[in-house]
Amino acid sequence: MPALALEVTGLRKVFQVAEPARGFAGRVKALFRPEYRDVEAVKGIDLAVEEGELLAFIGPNGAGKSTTIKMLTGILHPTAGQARVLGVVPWEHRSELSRRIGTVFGQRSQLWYHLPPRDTFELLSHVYEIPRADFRQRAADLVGRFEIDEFYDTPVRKLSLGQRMRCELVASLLHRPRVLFLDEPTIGLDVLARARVRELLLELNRQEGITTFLTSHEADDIEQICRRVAIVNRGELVLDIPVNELKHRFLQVKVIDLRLNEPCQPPAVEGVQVLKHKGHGLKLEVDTTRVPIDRALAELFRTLSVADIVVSDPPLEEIIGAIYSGEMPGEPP
Amino acid sequence: MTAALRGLGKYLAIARISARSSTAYLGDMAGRTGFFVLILFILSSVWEKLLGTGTVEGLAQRDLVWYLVFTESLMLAVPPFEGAIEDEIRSGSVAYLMVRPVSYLGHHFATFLGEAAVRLGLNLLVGAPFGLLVGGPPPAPLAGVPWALAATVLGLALHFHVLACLALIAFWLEEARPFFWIYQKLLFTAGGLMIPMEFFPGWLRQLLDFLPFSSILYAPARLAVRHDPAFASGLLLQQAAWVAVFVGLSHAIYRRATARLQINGG
Repeated sequence: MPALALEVTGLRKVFQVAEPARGFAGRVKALFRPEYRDVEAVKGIDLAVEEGELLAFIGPNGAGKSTTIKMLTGILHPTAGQARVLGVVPWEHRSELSRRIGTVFGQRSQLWYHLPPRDTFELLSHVYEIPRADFRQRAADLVGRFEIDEFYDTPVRKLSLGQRMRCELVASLLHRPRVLFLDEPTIGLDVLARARVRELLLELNRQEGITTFLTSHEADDIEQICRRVAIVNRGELVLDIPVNELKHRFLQVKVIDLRLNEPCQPPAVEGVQVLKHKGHGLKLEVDTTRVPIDRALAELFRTLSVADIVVSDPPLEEIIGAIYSGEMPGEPP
Repeated sequence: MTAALRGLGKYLAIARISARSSTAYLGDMAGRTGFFVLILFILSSVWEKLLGTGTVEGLAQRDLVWYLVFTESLMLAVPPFEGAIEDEIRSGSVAYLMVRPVSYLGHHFATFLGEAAVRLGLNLLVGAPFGLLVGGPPPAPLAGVPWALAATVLGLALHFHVLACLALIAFWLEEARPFFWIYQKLLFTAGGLMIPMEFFPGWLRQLLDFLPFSSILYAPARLAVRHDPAFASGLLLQQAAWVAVFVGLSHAIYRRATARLQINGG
């Protein structure tokens, strides 16, 4: 059995948040004796991530993702619970751990804006105290793999968002981290740049076996990069399953797109709902808990003259959205 | 290489990259330099009118021109880093720097020194010909240069740590800008930006000597225009004491602030 890169038990964090004071007198009083209320940001999370695993750690805004990541990177001490990242307690050995983990925060660049990426990489070699020969070899390897040669000496301010993100990834990998924390690495990227970043992350995982802990609001990132997804909501871990199981396990509906030979009224079939109907096009949603998909299809083919048909699952983001909003679809049949 | 040297190496690397980054916009540099020359011209004209060929407390017009060259060079060399710290605290991005094997304050200090060194070098490069042209040869002998240089480094260190203390207040108040404004005005007046301490009445000078402001601008500029080893060592000692106080204070505030981050979540 592979060793664990992250091991979290009963991790909990309670913050004290100042109550807003009312009126001038209240604000003056609050300067000297502020009143606080407890806010439980993380309510006892258990999680184990194997070395080399690709985990999507997702949840709506305010779910407790950032607080958990801050505890796992040693920035915050938990109120209760235990965590070990690469065998060490993060908040007790933050400096030691910082040399073995890499971080990319999609909304916060670590590159020097007015200088070429080469200069930031050079700086990071000193910050992480990487021996010169090792640094030169590693930088050359990553620059080649991430295809940044052509803009290696171009000031960061002149790079596209996709090019910058590739540089951010290289910057976070120079010191050969064993765990990579990625916080929305594809935010703001166009379709092509996003696809390239995903490819690179997968390739990196295959070649170096780096454990990847990814947070993203992009369902495609989760589906295409990660094999497992942990969903947090209101500070609790509500789901922790393989990504491919997410669809099958929580799938109640199928979407059917039909192209009809001639326009006609759709038949009334139990468990089948019309989503869109215009001319030759007909889009239906089948609730498979009420009618099996084969029976629904048979009924449709019996009454309609079909020129073309596509049966698909609803997008992953709809399933995730339903889990976030607490309307978790039913258990597997 | 020892761990301490490697530790120092990373901060030197930060200072180096900061210095390089500060030269990215030549237009900005030219604009700042133009403003610097304008300020020097106006203030030296005022001193020329006030002093003529006379002296005040042993300082002649030539001394004052060179004094201004140094104080203004320093004042216009210090990069405005305090707003960045305040923003990092307010936005919570202070946490991102904490996942690197580098001290938060050390990182900002090295960045500050790197940029200040470039700006100061350029200001002195332009200020020196101005001083020669308007005031004449520099009043202090070359032997005074190391003293003035040491006082400059200590002055910059003190300025950084005073402002860092004020910026870290943002952890509690979220708005530190009024404190920056007050500090800057005190530095202009009580720090001797335009008027050396010798020109203040005795009781006021005694009071100002107790405060840290004169250690930031007056001390380096005074040592640059008058070489007096006994006086210089006293000033350097005073500067070093203030630096020690504010380094200790800024780190203590930072520790309190990060402890608060633990409790309040930033």
